[in-house]
Amino acid sequence: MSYRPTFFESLPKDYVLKKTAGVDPYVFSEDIAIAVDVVLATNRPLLVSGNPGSGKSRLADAVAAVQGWSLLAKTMTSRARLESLTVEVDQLRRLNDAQARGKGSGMRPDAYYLNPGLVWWAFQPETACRRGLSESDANNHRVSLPYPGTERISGSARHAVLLIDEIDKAEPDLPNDLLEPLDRRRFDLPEGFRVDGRSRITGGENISLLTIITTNGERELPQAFLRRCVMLELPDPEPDQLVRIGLKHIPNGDPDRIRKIADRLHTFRTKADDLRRRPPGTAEFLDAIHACEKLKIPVSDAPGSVWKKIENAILVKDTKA
Amino acid sequence: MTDETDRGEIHLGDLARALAALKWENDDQAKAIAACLGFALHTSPKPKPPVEIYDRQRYPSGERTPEQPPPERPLFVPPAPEAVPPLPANHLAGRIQPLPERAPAAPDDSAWLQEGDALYSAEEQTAVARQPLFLERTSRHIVSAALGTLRSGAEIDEAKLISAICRREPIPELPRRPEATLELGCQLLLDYSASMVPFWEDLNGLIGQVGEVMGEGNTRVYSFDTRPTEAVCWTPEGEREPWQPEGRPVLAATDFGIQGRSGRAQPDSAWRIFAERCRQAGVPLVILVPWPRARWPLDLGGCPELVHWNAHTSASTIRKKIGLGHRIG
Repeated sequence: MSYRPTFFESLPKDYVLKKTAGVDPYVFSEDIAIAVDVVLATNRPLLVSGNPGSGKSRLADAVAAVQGWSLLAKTMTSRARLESLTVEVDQLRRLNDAQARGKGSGMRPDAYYLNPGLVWWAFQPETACRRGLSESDANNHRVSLPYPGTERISGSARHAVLLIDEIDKAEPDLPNDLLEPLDRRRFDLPEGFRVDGRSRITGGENISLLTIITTNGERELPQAFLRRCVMLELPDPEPDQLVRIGLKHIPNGDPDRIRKIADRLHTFRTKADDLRRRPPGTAEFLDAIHACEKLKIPVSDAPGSVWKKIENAILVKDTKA
Repeated sequence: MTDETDRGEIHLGDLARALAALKWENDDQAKAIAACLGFALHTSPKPKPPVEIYDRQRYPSGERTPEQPPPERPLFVPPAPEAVPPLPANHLAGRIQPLPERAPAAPDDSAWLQEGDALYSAEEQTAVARQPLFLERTSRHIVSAALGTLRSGAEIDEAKLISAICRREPIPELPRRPEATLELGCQLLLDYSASMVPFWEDLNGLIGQVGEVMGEGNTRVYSFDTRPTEAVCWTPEGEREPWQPEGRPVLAATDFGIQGRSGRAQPDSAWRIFAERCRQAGVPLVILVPWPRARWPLDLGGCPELVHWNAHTSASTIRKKIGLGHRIG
């Protein structure tokens, strides 16, 4: 690994994030290091593609841990909308409060009913935790929301990695809706609402944000969106790389066994392409080596062996076998 | 980190900024930086093999080669061939006899024939570029507009809400404005009749275009010959499954047997039955017709939406006809 990152300078020289409390090890490649460095240099989102189990979502966790930044993550569904990422208004609660309290008696401020989304938390965590209320109002109404992710504070800075996972699961319009918040680093509040006297939330001057978006390629993304993202494709690791990853996860593991499982995985990937099945990913490989190490199971081709059952359950996943 | 200007798409300035700011040491690293920003000089991607024209003689292998095992869940399997007439039960006497030797035919080395051969190189047979009926850059939006259904959205319907408050009605649930969704997927019915032969490639391409937007798992592909009521698909077990409405939009592609003739088409009577079945089931029916409106049949019953299957059709054209989305049920 000859490339030495400029902005992603916290990356260890051996490109390996070692296992720490709450974070699994991650083996970076030079391509990943370059892509993250480019993202930090250009302030663009990083769009990560690759086969399921190739480590796309884990990359955000690993980058956040290396940088010592907070991690905010949300997995998209067909119901996901821009508002669920920026800000929503709890209208029903507001109405019920209005009816229950009666006219003019102890009405709560409007911002009390704002539910901040992850983009708000990434841009302005200090206002998000009080729903945009002033500090005195937040104290009076006892508003103090917990951080909705893994919080890491280095000094006074609250930099964050924002993971928008599996964006292809969302409705096709969502990527286009995300363009403005990600591009201009701001979004408008719902009509009539204000935070600190302003009608929009903007990214803090002293906060760095790294946005990582993942896609499984299930649905094609709009060209306008793609042209605004830095692209990174995570290839399936070769057997040598798999062994390296495996030994980082299980430092005391049996290298021969890990090597055999890596070779099997490689074989299945080749066959999977021919059989038009989903190839097993790195995540499945890690499951297999963890299972074999903990259960002390040798890799054996004997029919009916325990390994064969594990192989079928974790790597092949053929329910008809 | 705030930036009040719209930076737009990634441009050369981003590349220059990245190359100036980062400590790259060799050409490969510079290339990798450029590639992240979309400035890579890639070799041409490996072209996808063209989808072969539907051939009923190849049933049941479909588009597969004999060496390939069957896919777990084929997206599309052509319909069964016509039944082979029964052979006579009795055995007919027959003998194979050698034919008398014949003089070999004189090679025809006419000059005009060789000139003709010279025009065609057996090694270089480039496929003629073909423009699909829905262009790649617009097909995504067209499919979204044609097959979106309405669901209760996230936006609150203030008018209904205020009305309920004014009437002092209880509000057990917030009234919400409808929004379009593709979550229901669709049924895709393709007419592989003889009159559609010029469009078979487009039919095959349509499977991909719809699958890309709706998701392959949400797209059920049926085929039929002239009569949509006889449309079938094949289960992964190879069983024939006739079409029936299942609560999701139906997109059919057909020419109603127009075959380029002028005047209004007189479609098979099955189309009226088919449209009526869709209406009764409460599923929207959109029909793509590769011929212009002047040739479409006047009355199909069941209120299907007919769309000109043509490169000039846009998503906005369809939204004007359909609106935000279809209502199911």
